[in-house]
Amino acid sequence: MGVISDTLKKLGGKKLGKIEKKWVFDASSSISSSPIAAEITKGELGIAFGTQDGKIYMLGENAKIKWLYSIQEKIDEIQKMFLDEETAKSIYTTPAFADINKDSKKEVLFGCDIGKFYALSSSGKLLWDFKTDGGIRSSALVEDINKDNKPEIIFGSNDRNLYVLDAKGKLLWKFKADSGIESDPAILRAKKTQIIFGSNDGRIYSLNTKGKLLWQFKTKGKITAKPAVGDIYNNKKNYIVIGSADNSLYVLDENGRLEWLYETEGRICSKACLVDINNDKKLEIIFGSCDDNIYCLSCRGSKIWSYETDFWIVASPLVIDIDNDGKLEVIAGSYDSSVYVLDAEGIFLLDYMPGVSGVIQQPGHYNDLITVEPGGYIGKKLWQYKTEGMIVGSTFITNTKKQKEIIIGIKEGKLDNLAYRKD
Amino acid sequence: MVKELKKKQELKRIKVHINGFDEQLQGGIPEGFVTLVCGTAGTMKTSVAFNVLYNEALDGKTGLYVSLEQSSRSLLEHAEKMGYDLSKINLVVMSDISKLKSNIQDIKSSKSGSLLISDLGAIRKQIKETKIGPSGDWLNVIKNIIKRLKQEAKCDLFVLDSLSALYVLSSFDEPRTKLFYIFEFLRDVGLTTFLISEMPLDKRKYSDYEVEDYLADGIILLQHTEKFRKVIREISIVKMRATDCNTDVFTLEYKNKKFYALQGGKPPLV
Repeated sequence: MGVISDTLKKLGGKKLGKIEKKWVFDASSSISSSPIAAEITKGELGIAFGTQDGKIYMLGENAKIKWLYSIQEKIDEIQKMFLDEETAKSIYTTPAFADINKDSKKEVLFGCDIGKFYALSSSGKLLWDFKTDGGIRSSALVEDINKDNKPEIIFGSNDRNLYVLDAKGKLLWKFKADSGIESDPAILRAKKTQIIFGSNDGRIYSLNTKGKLLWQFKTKGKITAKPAVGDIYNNKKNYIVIGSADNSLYVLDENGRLEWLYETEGRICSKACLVDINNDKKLEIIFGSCDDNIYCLSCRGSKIWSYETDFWIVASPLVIDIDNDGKLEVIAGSYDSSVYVLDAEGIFLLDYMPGVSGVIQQPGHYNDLITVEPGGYIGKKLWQYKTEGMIVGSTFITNTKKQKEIIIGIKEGKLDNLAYRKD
Repeated sequence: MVKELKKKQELKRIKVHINGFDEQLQGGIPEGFVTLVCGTAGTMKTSVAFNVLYNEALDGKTGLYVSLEQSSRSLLEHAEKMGYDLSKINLVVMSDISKLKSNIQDIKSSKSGSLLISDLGAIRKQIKETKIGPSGDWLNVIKNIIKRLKQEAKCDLFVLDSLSALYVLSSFDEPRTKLFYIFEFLRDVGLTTFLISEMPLDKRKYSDYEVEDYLADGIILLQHTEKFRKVIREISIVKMRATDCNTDVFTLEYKNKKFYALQGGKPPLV
């Protein structure tokens, strides 16, 4: 029976196996940041995430708490009145892992809504902190931008400044933007290295490594997404891909000139993934929108496929081979509480069948225009996994069997570990 | 459905304390509702809102009046001139944010109803020289006062004077979203709320962003009307959810220390 149903599935283009939960971790507070996973010390994996009550958890591969850091800030009575006590310590930044003190262990860097930026050791001890005058929602970028063989730490704050600190938490320089900065910064390597970030008034800024403004580009909505940078056309030039709350995804060249934009019907909050899904040596662009759709665009900005979920997509999608079949899957978490695993290439669906009829509408596929085109690609769902709440972020780990597992952060305080299992 | 209708009739209501007007509202505004009190300058928005809190304090309730621009001194002088006997209620003025705890204690220890006037204008001056400066989030200050007063002093009513001043003091980049959360916060806290909204002189809208009209449970409109070279004040209900209300326009008069809603110079026939 199993063999017959497997064969039928294969004939129908369905993949075998399923996505199932391996473990769940209850943080007992709303999870506000996307989780991150990496090797903290040699052979030792760590999964970190932040919560609304000001805690950073570091878990091991099997969801055991390695350490927990709780923000301890003394706030006087007057200051307290100006804060929303329930969310004042919220950690919205995805923690950054980086070996900033060359001890062969990765330190953890993050900011919080109270306006402080923290550097913790790999064992969760406070190394240093840095105070800004606004909430920090921009995750840190750790890069050696001045080629001194030491990493610099770059992040934005709602006090309108982009800060660049040295590895000991000392301010090297800051750049004042026209509004708060919640977007994560990214690096663009061109003739000159550029620091790219978005701001709350919709501007995309480019700075040189000394903090001088190179160019800026204005969109019509707040930018919270991290810029994605890549050689999308395979022409040895890097391009910036970034979404805005004006519902559009922008692609700019290294001089801040608009290459093209793609309009959706909802805000774009998540970082786009730039991946070659069809081996054409060019990068396709995969992102989610608050119009409930996951989009896959070609490097020229034409839609390859989209897939509609039941609510907003705020978390950045992952593009990995979850079932080890040599093909990529798109993993997207939605505010509708589900994790969608989609075929990265989509599926070609015929609209027109010569010799049979003019236009054939196939179940589940609706074209409002009668077309002579033979058909087109649509998003193809492989699996769907229902979690217990809105998905705020995701990451993945590679287990000892070289299989990839997904880690999902859920607003309602749960961290789920999902893995593919062959039936 | 029938059960739901019965429930509506059972709603507890807060009197507006305007003779002839509460009757048009099935006895008053449903408890926990958020109502806009809108009008152009000089239409007695502040007085009508103050009148509710004063009279409810006489009935033993606790109310919070947050004045963002008018000083507590000016407000109380005006109330005294109108004939309100402030000695009959437990009047507490908060002009120092660090004294909220003792202000709450004053309310808790009082046997009579209380009215806390939060003079945010004075607090703004106090804060100006501190590290928070004038740019702090004043919306959070108001929310924190409300939360503490509700939890610790069982506050029942809240007046914000005014929404327009709040828009200047707090960042409203995305007003529709922010206002939605403010209205939801007020409903969740469960205070019967009056938000004073300053209308433009051309009266083309009830509130600054217009979305407030839809978010509010009720709208009371106060206006000036010129008749035979005389300007008279008028009051009407634009909307009141869960209430079978009369939306006629009434003349608003204040005499013998009381507000009256009149039709043709007489209390309206009910």
